[in-house]
Amino acid sequence: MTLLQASALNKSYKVGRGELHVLQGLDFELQPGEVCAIMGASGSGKSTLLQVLGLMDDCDSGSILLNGNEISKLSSKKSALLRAEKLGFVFQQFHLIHELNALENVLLPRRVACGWSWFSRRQQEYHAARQLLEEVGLSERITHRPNQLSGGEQQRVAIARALISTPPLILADEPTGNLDSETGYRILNLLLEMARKRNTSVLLATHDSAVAAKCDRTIHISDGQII
Amino acid sequence: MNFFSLAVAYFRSNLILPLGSLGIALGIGVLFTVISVFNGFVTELEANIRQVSGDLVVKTSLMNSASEDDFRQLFNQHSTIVSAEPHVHWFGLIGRRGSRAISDARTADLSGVLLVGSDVNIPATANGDFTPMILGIILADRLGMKIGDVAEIITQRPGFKHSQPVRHSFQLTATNSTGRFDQDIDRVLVDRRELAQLVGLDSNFTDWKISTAKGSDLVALQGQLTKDLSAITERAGVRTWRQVGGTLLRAAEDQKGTLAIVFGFIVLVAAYQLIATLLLLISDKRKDIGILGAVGASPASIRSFFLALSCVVTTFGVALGLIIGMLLNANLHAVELLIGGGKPIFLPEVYKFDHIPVAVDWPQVMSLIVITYVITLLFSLIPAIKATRIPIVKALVQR
Repeated sequence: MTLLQASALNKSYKVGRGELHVLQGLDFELQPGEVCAIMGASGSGKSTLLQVLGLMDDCDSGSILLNGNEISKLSSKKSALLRAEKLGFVFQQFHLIHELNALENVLLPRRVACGWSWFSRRQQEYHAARQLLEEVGLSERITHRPNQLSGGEQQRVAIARALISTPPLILADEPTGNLDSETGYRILNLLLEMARKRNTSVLLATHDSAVAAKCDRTIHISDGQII
Repeated sequence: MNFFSLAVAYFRSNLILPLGSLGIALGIGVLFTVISVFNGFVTELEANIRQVSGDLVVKTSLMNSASEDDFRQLFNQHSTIVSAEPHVHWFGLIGRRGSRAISDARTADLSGVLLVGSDVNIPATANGDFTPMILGIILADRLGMKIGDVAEIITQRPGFKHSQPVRHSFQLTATNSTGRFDQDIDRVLVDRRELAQLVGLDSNFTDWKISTAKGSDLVALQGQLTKDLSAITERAGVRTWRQVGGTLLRAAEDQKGTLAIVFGFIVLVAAYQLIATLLLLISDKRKDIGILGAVGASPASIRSFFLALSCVVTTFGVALGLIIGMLLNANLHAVELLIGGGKPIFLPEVYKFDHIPVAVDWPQVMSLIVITYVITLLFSLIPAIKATRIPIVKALVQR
């Protein structure tokens, strides 16, 4: 069964008096466990596509099916829960909360998703987060805050955070864009290795063909359409 | 609730939040102290009134027709009355014997005193030349009198048309310290019958101090006694201790209420300032709101987070405020001297107390805390709702 199916996605923004059509009737499919790269120039709509598929932004029209279920028209509460349970995000800017240490940042989606029941599952969640940090090579730095970590280490924490809920899909927006090439490749390898180990699909936006080459499939996007 | 630990982490890392707490703490601390001091005043005032008047006071007329036994018999019929003490209350002027004021009416070196005729044991004089009396310790000190010294008391004997001045010598045989300034500064305790005779009263009492069993319904007893007394005497009034000290108690209560409102504004302003603090935080931490949204926080969860943050700020403020309040209470005299530039502000002559009384009313403090939480939470709703309206994508692009 197809994991993610987007059909006829449209998204536009108002720019002054006119409209900028970022996604124009875009169709896209992703299979379970598949790692797919989206390539395109700046402003081609890569990030917008990830934001719409990740339910962080609404599409103007079209449908998105996750495991066969329509998710584009969910209420804000349900889409939030879906983001916490079924989707993982890795951003170019890492987007960690500076007030929290590495372990707490990794646990954040679980705290948000579990509500009151988080307390009863706390030990279990802590164990899972520690294990993930160990896997990304940060077992010695779990109490460090983001400002005490290098860029590569911050992205490792972000990868662990994306995987804490064992989601079927990770959306990664230029995950290596803010790192030097050597660190970037190491981080990319780590992300792909961990995702493949868990049979997690990855949709990765990049403009680096070397990064795309590591993926199972590459699609190209231009003017809001897959070419 | 799951956002509390995150809220605590934010509180620890953003100085603006503890500063917000400090405003609440100052408001709570000052309000706590003000309410405690006024509670102290009211409590001491109440104790004072009850000590002097008992639970009920039966005031009889000077033309009273009923005897002491008639009154006693009537009081015995009421099971809630534990004791009934007859007293003579009269007024006079006292001066040390030989001082100019006594012999020269143009000078005014006399103290107005309350003459209390009581059945307490008053030590007799050594040779029996004078009537013995007990003076309040502060009054004795002010008059410069020692045991054995003689004072003259000038008072009035009531008459049909004109009162007659009378003058009598009393010898100090003991001093009395009640620990209450107002009691010790103007009381002259003498034998009840001697005083009644000096003043020329028909009966040996002007009022009765009634003590009742704990938990008695004083108002009901007052009504019953008024009814029963009308059968034995024409002119007798019954008042509860609250009515005796009515004006003073009301004034103290009103003053307490007014000051609570005035100082309550500090809490209100501090809570209001929390809106600005949280709005500033939202603007500063816009990206974090986006991160929370991206990892699965719903608008309701983000609202909860900001309310949790407000709770953390308030809790810290309240806790610190209570500590400040308790420290102020414990060092009130030092604070008083500090404010007064080394001199006490509350003069015992004016306020009737030789210390600043403090009584913490914990249920009242609890109400204060609850009101503070309600106000800060209400005020925090504005920034909390504002935070939920920031789109995740726009929040994430903040640099």
